[in-house]
Amino acid sequence: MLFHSLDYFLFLAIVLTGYWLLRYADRSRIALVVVASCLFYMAWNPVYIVLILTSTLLDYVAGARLGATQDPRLRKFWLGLSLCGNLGLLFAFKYFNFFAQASADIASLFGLHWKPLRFNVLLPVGISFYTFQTLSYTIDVYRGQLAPARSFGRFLFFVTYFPQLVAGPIVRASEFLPQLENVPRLRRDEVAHGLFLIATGLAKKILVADYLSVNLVDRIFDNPEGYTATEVVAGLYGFTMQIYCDFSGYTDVARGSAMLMGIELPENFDRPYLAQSPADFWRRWHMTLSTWLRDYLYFPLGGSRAGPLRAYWNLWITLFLIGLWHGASWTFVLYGILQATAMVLHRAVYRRFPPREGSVWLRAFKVAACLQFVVFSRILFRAADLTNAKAVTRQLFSGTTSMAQIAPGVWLVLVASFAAHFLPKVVFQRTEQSFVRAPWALQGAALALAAWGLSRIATSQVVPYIYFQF
Amino acid sequence: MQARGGERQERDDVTWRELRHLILVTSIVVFSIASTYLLPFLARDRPFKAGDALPLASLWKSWQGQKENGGLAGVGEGYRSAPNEKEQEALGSAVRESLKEVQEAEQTPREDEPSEKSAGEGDSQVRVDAREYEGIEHRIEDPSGEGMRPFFLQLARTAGGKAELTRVAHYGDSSIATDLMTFTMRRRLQARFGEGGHGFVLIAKGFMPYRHRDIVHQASTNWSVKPIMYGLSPDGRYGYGGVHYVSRSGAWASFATESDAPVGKRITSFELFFQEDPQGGDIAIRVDGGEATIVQTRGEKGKEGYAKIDLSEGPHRIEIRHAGGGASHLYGAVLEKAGAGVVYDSIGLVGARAVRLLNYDGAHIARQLEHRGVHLLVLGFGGNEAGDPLRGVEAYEEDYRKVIRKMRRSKEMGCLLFAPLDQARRDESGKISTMPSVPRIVAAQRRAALAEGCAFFNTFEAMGGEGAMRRWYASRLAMGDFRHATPAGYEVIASLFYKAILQSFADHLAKPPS
Repeated sequence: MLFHSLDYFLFLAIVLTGYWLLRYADRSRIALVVVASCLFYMAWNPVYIVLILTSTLLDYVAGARLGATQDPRLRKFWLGLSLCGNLGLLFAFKYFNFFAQASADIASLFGLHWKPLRFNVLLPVGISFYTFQTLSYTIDVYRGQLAPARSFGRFLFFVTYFPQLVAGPIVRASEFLPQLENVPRLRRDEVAHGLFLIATGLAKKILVADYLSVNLVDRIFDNPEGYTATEVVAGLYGFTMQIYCDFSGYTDVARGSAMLMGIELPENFDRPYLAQSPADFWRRWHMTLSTWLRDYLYFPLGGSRAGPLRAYWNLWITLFLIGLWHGASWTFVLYGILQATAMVLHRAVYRRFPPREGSVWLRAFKVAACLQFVVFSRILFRAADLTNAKAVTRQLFSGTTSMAQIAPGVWLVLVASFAAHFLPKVVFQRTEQSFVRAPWALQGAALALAAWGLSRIATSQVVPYIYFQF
Repeated sequence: MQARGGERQERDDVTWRELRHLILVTSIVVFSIASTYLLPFLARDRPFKAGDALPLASLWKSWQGQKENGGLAGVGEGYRSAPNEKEQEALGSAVRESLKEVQEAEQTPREDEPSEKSAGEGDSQVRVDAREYEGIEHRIEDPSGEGMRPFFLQLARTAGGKAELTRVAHYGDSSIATDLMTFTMRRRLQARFGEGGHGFVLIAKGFMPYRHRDIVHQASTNWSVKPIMYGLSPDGRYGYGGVHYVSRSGAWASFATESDAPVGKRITSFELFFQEDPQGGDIAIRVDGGEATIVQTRGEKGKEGYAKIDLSEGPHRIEIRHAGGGASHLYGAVLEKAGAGVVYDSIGLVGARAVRLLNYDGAHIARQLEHRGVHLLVLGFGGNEAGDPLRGVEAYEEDYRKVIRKMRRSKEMGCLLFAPLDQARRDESGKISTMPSVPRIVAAQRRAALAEGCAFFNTFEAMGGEGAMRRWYASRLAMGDFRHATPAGYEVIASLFYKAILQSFADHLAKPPS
C-alpha cells in the first residue's frame, strides 16, 4: 500500500477513527494499531510478517532478560543473541547472495571455481529499517539508558508502527516508547501541521519525484547511449532531486500521519543539497540513519578520540557501512567507498587548514562543489549494476552537447525544484504558518484542490518509493 | 493537584478541538470528492470508477497477485536486481535463445570485415540453412503470399550474387526511432546478404530520440522541423522520412562513416532528398572537406527533388550547408554502397500513431517510395495507441487499413505489419500487467494486414504474449516505463524478427517457381 494511493487514505481514516474512539482503552487501541500495521505490511507480502514478528519477539525477550539480570555474562549473552538474530536475518535476506557470488568471483581470479549457493528469496520490504530500530532498543536497554518495554503489545506497536515501518525514519525506542505511556493527546495546531506535512510529502513525490523518474531519469539510466553528455548531466541532477523528493516526501507523509495520532517522529532531512561538505551532507541527509550509526557504531569504535589514524578508520568504516546499508551490490560497495573516502579526505584537509568564516561566495562555492560530488556519486546509487554505471559515466564524458531530448516540462520541474530547495527556510515556514492559521474551510478547500491537481499531474505509472528496496 | 487536573482538562480540550478540526477539514475533502460523482462535468476526476477494484478490498487481490507472481512483483526489488534463472526461464525458449545469441555476439570480438561475404555470393543456387532460424516459435503470417513476395524475389537476386540492392523501409514509433532494433536488423541482414550502406537518414534530430547508428551524424540546431505527427504542412509533403526540414541561415548537417562500425565503413553514393520551391535556396554539399557542389532547390512548388553524388568506394564525410538564397526544404539523405546487399531504412517517428501517416499526400509519398526503390514496407505502430482511449477496435482496424492503402500504392512493394511490443502498467500493488488494449490492437492489426494482402509479424506474441513486459523487465530486457525495450531487448526482438524473415525466405525458396 503506497502513501500516494486512495487505499492508504481510506486505511488511515479507518485507523484514525478507531484510534481516537479507543483513546481511553489502552490495550484495545494498541491492539488496533498493531493489527492495522501488520495488515499494512502484509499488503506487500503476507509471508514476511513472520520475520518482523520473530525479530520483535527476540528483542522483547532479550530486553526483558537484560532488565531482569545484572550478571555481565548473561547480559552479554542476551545482547549477543539479539545482535546475531537481527543482523543474521538481515544478512541472510539482504547480503548473503551478494557475498556468496562475490566470494566465488574473487576466488575465480585465483583459479578456484565453485558455484555459489544462492537463496531464491526476495528482499523483505523495510528490513533494514526495522532491524536497526529493534537493535537500538536492546543496545539501549543493555547500556541502561532505557527501561525494558512494559508490555509486548507496546513493543510490537513500536516496531510495526505503519507510518514508518517500511522506509523510516529510523525511530529509537527511547524516543518512541515513552510516547505510548500516556493517553494520546493532540497539541494545538497539530492536525493542521500534520495535514500540511502530508500534502507537502505527496506533492514532492508526485509532482517532482515520479515526474522526473518517468520522464527523465529512468529513460537515461535504461539507455544511456541514447543520450548526450548534457542530457546525462540533466538526468543525474534529475535523479538527485528525485531521490530527495521521493524519500523526504515519504518521511513527510509518515510524520504527518503519525502527528494525527499525537505521535512525533523525528526529522530525517534538513535541505541536504545546501551542504558545504560531505560531513555536512550526512548531517542533513537521512539523519536518523547517520545518527544511528554514529551512536551505535562510530562512538563505540572510539569516534574521533581514539588517535588520528584510528579516528580516520572509524569514520571511513562508518561511512562505508552507510553506503552498504543501502544495498548488496558492487555499486553500493563503491558508493560507500566513495563517500567514506571523501569524508576522510575532507576531515584531513579540515584538520590541516581549519576553516575560517568565509564570504558568501566562498560558501556558495562550497555548496556548489559539494552538490557536484553528490550528483556524480548518485551514478553508483542509481545504476542497475557496474556495467550500467560505466555506460552512464562514459556517456557523461562523451563531449556531446545536444539537449533536444529533454522536454520543456522536465526542465521546468527540474529547475523549479532546485530553486525551491535553495529558497530560505523561512519561506516554507511562513507558507506552513499561513496554512495552519487559515480557517478549517479554507484548509479543506486547499487540500481538495491540491489532491485534484496532483491526481491530474500524476503519471499513469505507479512508481514505488525508492527506499522501500533498502 | 487541582492545577494538574486543570492542565489535563485543558489538554483534553485541545485534543477534542483538534479532532473536531480534523473532521471538519476532512469533510470538505470528502465533499469535494463526492461532488465529482454528483456533477457530470467532473466525472473524469472521480478517484474511483465503476469497474475499478474496490479500494482496500483490492489488497486481497494484490496478495493473490503476489502469489501468482511469486513475490513482491516489482515493489522493493531495487532498480533491477540481476535476473535469476527462474526469470530467464519464464522468457520462453525462443527469447532465451535470441538473448543468448545477443550476449554471445557482445562477447565475440568484432571482425574487421564481417559483412563482405554473403552466404549466397557467387552462387546462383540460393539456400537458407534451417539452422539459421533454429528455435523460432513465431512465424511471419502471409497467407496470400503477396505481402513478402516482392521482397523475397529481390532478396533472392541479391543473395544470388546480382549486384542489386534490396531495400526495406521500416516505419514506426519511438521503438524504431532509437534505431536499436533496426540497426540490429541492418547489421544482421547485411552480414548475411551483403552490405548496401546505411540507407536513409533524417537531416537533424527533429524530435527525441532519433538516432541512426553506425554513422557519425551531426547537425546544427537551426533547422525548422515539421514532423508528420503534428500535421504542420498543409500540402502533406513530409518526404520519405516523415519530417520536413526548412533551412535557416547557417544551418548545416554532416554524415560520416564510422571507422569502428561493424558495417557501413565504405559507401559509394550520397543522395539528398529535397522539395523544390520557387524561393528555394542553395545547398552546398562538400565531400571529405573538398570543393562544394551547389544544389539549387529553386523550382516548381512542392515537386520532389533529388541530388545524387557518386563517391569512390570508401569512408567519407559529407557535409550539407545552407548556401544562400531562400530557405531550402529538405527531407533527408541516403548513404549507400552499390553492389549486392541489403539496405534497412529506419524511420522512427517518436510519439506517432499509425493514423499520423494519413497526413501524407498520397501521391507524394508514393513517388518518394518509388524513387527510393523500396521492396518491403514495414509498418510498426500500436505502442502509443495502447495508452489511448480506443474508439473501438473496428474503427482502429479501418484506420490502419486506410494507412496501408495510402502507403502501399503499388503491389510491386512488399508489405508487413509489425505488431507493437507488449505495453504494460504497474498498479499500486506493484503488479506489472499487460494493458488490456494491447491484445485488441494486435488482433486488429492482424486482421487489417491480412485483409490488405500484407504479411504480419506478431511481435507481442513473439515476446511471450500476455505479461511479457513484466518478464522482460525482470530480465533487464525492458525499460522501467514498461513501454520500451532496453538495447539488449531490442536486439532480441530484432533477432526474433530476423529469424522469422529467414524462415519465410526459406519457405519462399522451397516453393516451385510460379
